[in-house]
Amino acid sequence: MSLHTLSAAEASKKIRSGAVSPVELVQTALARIAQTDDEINAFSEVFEAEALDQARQAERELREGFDRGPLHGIPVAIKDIFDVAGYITVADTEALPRVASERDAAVVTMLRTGGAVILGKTHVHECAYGCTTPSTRNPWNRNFVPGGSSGGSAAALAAGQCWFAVGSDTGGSIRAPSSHCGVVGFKPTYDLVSRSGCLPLSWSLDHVGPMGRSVGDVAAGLGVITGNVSRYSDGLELGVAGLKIGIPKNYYFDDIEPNLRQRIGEAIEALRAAGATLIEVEIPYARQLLPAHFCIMFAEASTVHRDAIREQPDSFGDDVRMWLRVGALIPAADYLSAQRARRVIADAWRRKLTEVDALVVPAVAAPASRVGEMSWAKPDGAEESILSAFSRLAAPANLLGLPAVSVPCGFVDPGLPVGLQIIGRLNDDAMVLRIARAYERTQSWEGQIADF
Amino acid sequence: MRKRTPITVETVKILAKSVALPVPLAEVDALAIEVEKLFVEIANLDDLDLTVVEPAFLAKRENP
Repeated sequence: MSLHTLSAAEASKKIRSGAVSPVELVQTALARIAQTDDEINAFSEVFEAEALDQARQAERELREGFDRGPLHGIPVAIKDIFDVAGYITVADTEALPRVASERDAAVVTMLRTGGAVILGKTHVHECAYGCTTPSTRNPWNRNFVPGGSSGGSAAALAAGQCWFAVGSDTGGSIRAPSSHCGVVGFKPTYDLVSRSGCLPLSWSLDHVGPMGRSVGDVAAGLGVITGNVSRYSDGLELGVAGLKIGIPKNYYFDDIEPNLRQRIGEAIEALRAAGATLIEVEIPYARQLLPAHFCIMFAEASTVHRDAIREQPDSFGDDVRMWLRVGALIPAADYLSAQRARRVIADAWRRKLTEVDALVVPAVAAPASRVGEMSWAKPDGAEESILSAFSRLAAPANLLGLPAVSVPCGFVDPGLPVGLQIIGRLNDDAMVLRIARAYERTQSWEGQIADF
Repeated sequence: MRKRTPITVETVKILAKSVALPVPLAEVDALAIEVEKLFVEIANLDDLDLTVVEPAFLAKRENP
């Protein structure tokens, strides 16, 4: 078996048994990037020399019995909106000053403390504001987008270029690309992972989270970046027998691409067969979810980039420039109403989620789009923007701060992966991962890597 | 739902000027369409009675 096909957990085991060294893993990653990145362009920058230095240090530490945990010696990719000391955070935009970061983002610090090898930075949709990541291609079919905004991180994992990655998620930016690229992406409870040193898009909706090729790797990585190493791995294998899984009657299954809907139906049936009880639930305030989310995201993003959109609008791409201008015109009263509505909606959801252990729904409304497509035709023939199709099922968990994961649940034509989304109660991140793992165990997609 | 007056190109020009947002003439029409789309969405929040509700988002680790 080639080293690039291992999970992070398997690679970690091999490091500890002496069968492989962290330096060999970095060399494998560099070779895989050299082999595949001309086609998919997942990495914006590779830290070759530094990564080899870090790998040698990890090797020394492990030889001396200093074990930093499950990511010690594992090469990881960083979405290029997180600061890495000595490197420029470009965020795929010309609007930010090209100045090297003075210090690491908090999540990078946690990864270094956990002994991870920082392999490089991955492409994003400009400023994390969008869902296609135009610089990058989907490893499963290079005519399609990887999704976004953490598209580079998802593509790098799917191509076997790294073993773990971090992304950010404001309206699906971890879960949508994870769905499109057939990897596992987890958006934790709001603020569970520090956003310090991360370029904000919308600070009350932004979440930082782990991405990997298995639920186990994501749970272990979440432990590393939260400083609580075993918390999310300990109960992972408990299964779903006796758990109550909520299947929404409204909102989440409206206007879904039919083949994707079929895959989700099969996944729900697999959970039922694994012992879960399925319960139909009515989603509260369905009509207000997206208006509140979009109002807050647009207004906050335009505030983050307020000077740049006034003074150098042409440094943004057409889509981001438009959205930043739209957000700049939202009245303060509407923004505050959206934040008040958020509290009302959150209270109703909290009551609703006492009836079940989690909700199981699609991660996105449609599979990955062809490069350059701006819309898709819904089952009723109506056009919907790609932004809406890739974010409308993910955004509620951002609005409400709830933990949510996308786990691969099969493929649709033409060979594109799709993901199952599991949404849990606030601070019940471990339950979401436990259900995801129980589903993953029933399938054969764990650790899948695209052919090249 | 309470009715809001649709956003026009002229309204967008005035709004943009009032917040010092430069918008080239060639892009104003498209902007007006996008602003109107968003404002139609936001109007869905007008139905809610929010008079006694504090806004979310203020405290770290609060339930948003």
